Amino acid sequence: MEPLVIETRELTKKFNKFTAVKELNLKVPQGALYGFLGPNGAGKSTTIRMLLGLIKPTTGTIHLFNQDLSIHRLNILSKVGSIVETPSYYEHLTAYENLEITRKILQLPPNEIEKALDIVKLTQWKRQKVKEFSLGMKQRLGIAQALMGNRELLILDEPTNGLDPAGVKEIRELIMSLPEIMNATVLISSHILSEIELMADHVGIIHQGKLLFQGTMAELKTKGRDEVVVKASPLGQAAAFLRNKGYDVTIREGKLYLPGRNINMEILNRELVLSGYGVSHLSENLGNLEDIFLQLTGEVA
Amino acid sequence: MQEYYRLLKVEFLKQKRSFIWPTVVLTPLLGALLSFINLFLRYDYLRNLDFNQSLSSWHLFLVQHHFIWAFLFPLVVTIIASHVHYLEFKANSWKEALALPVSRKKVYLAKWSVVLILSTLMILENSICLVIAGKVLGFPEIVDVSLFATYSIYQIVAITSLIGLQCLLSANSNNANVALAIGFVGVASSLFLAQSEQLARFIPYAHMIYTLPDYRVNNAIALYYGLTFGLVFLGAGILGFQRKEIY
Repeated sequence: MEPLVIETRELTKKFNKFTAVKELNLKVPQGALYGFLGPNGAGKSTTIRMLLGLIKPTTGTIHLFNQDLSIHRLNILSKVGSIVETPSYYEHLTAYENLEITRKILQLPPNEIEKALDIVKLTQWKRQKVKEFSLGMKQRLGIAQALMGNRELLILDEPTNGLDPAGVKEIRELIMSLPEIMNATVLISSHILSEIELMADHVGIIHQGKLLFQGTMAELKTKGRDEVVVKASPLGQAAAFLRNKGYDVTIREGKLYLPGRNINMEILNRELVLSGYGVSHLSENLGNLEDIFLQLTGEVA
Repeated sequence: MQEYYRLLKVEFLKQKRSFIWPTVVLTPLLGALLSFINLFLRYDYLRNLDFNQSLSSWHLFLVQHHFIWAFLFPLVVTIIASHVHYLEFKANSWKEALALPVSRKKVYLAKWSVVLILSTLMILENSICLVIAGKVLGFPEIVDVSLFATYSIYQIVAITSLIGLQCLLSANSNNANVALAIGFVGVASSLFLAQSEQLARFIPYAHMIYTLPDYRVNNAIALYYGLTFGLVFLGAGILGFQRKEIY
């Protein structure tokens, strides 16, 4: 098992009577692209702010790189790059000057700015004031800021927020390339299922401050309700035949649906064909992430 | 210490192309120019007033200048202190700035220092402008260097209380404009409240009024209370900022 880069234990944050994060045990393995998924208001940003030391947990502990954040904050943050919700810039300064601020604080050589600008493809606009940038360019600049100095962990909170589809695709591809380019662990939060499905290899699902699931994407998909879809004729008689054979069958939109994980499709097909039914379609319908997500969050709501 | 200097450099970089620089350069010039016009038009009249008889021309010039400067300067320092923090609120960049490996205490100190350095520059520039203005007016006495040096030092000490309070308010509220509004009201009301020495001791906005080196002015208010409140507000500001939750 990979060592953990982020580990929280019973992490809780309360705002007066409202509990934003409840006993969260987050485990992000080294080298993972971890998707932190949850609807708006689920507690993602609050968790991320705690991970970055911006707000203090009410109870619980945070360990990054096996060090306690409350004790080794400066050492830990020197290895962490971040974007918290919309990236922030000094709009009256150029892209280069904005990165110069980060470079000076991190004591990096000047070529780090060029390297970061090159990765996010902003080199040709480096002397332009940020107030003249599009949202996508600002987002890329935010990522450049987070990348400077070979950070070992990148925490990106909703980095595709507010972007048009082309911008989303561009940023997604950039993020997916980061573990390889930077050799970094990436935690990315989003409320968009498809985004996480496309990018992440590990997932944590948070809802109403509680972590409902944590594991690999493959493990998450096993949580879905699988079913076999059959198109056979005559439909009604084929359904009756299968019911007699002990299958649970429902008819929807001219097709037979057989829920269950252990149906042998080869045997099913043979039984239907040898009994004189015409089979024109036979497929396995794995539960998609949306169904799984709704199923998990529905259990809590 | 190196981290503090780095943060200080960063703070000055953030002020690039900011209106702060023209403000810092032009405010002392404006103050000196208004005083120059005042003396240019009314020198003989002021010279002949009974209570000015014992004063040198330089001293008379400073007394007249102080009426304008003791109001103008705190107002501008209030604007600078708010602006230095407003930059972070405007860009919503506290979260980025404090997610970097920096000590919050030093971040706060760097911002406080920028305001103090800019205030000191304004004070020194103002004194130089006044000397030049006095020379142009052709005062018969030689320049009273010790008078201007004393005036400058008193101002630097006194203004620390206002800087401390404005930085505390700006950094620890969720809107730097609130601090700006409080500062404006504070400076405006201090003109009246400073009539009472007892009250003026405890009003940082009034400490500047007591910086004129003159036997009729209780400079102890500017020096002791200015410095004491300056240090207290600095400490309170640092403590508050270290505990501030960044959303």
